[in-house]
Amino acid sequence: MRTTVSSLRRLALGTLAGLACSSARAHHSYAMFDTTKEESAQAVVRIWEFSSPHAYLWVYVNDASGKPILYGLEAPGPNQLVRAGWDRETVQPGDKVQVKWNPLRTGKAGGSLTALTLADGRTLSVGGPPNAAAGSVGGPDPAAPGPGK
Amino acid sequence: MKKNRSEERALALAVMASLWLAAGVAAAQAASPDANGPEATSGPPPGAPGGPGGSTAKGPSGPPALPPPNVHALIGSWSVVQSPKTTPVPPAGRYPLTPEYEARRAAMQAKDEAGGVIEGRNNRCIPSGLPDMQTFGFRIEANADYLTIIGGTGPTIRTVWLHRRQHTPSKLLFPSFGGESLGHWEGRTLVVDTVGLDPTNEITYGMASNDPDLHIVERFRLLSPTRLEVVSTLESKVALTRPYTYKYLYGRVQFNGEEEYCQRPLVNNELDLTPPSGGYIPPGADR
Repeated sequence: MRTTVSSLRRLALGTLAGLACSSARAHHSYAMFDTTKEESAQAVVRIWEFSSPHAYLWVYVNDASGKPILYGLEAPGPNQLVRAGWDRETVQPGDKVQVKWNPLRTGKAGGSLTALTLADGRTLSVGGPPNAAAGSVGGPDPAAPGPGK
Repeated sequence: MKKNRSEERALALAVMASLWLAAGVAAAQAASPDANGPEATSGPPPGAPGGPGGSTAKGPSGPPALPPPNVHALIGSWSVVQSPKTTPVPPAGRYPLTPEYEARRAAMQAKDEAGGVIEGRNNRCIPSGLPDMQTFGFRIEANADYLTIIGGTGPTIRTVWLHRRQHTPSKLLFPSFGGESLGHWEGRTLVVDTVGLDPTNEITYGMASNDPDLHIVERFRLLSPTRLEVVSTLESKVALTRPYTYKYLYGRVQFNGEEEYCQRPLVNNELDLTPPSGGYIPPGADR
């Protein structure tokens, strides 16, 4: 079963995650996802595609009648995911998980993956730290010359 | 091992950039380099003796001007930290659009507000092209003759020639996603002039220029070893009522070697929900 949370906080988090994920966002607009909502459900993994520029998690979520419905959830690319603690073996086919995602605006069974809770209780989000070799993206530049230089 | 070499390279580039920055400051005191935006220019004009590419011109007084910065200071991966863009549709008045293009913008905005998805060429895995390709970041490589800028969907790979001063005659110029770009130094700023862009390149998401004469001038300026400012001016008699100038700020990031390509075109502007083969399929599932 799915639950939905609508809040500006979700929008902010989704936007920040999207901005941090610079390479993935370059491929298409995220407008297809409703980043003001976050759905959550118990699911079983069909397959985890640890691929670039996007990873994809395919899971089955039972509908109200108990029928498994396949959801396709897009995630950032592997480099960002690795920084957030994911890897190729994070999940295996048949694993029982809890997933959170920003749904497709059309209502179809898919969305943008935001977080995953594994059977052992660990929760992984897709945001992770920004990709920066020096300074933080969007923050003050520690290497900038001072006044008068 | 790989990570250590990358770190050493980043440190070497930062040291080089710092030395260049110091040299640039000294040059600024001698010969009025460009430091305050697109309107200010400095140094001898392109093609003039001692012009960009190896200037030895003297300032009005004092010691000779130092050579312009080396393109190698621009090498690296850059990720956007400050962008003028709104997603996906710019608000009314942001771009000086002609009436026809403003009508298109308004229609896109109405569609977006109604929950529709704006169709951008990226959705169909068509390379971004310029200017869209640099929206989120890019990578610069360089040699003595040209810069290579890699970014956007495709990815788009554009070449900035550093020693050419004349564009290819228009009757011989064929359109491309990256266009034909010629770069020259004005003080501390690399000025890049681009023509020959494919008319299907988008000037803003989902809005093709439809102008084979779209002209873009970019000014690349390092503010620090880790901050790059790019001020771009678009000119189009078809789409714009006047030149439109905007600024992006990028932060240096570590190149991760991630392959950039459009792996999965959208279907009807939406995620392709065709699953791969294999994996676990529970009892009762349709697919």
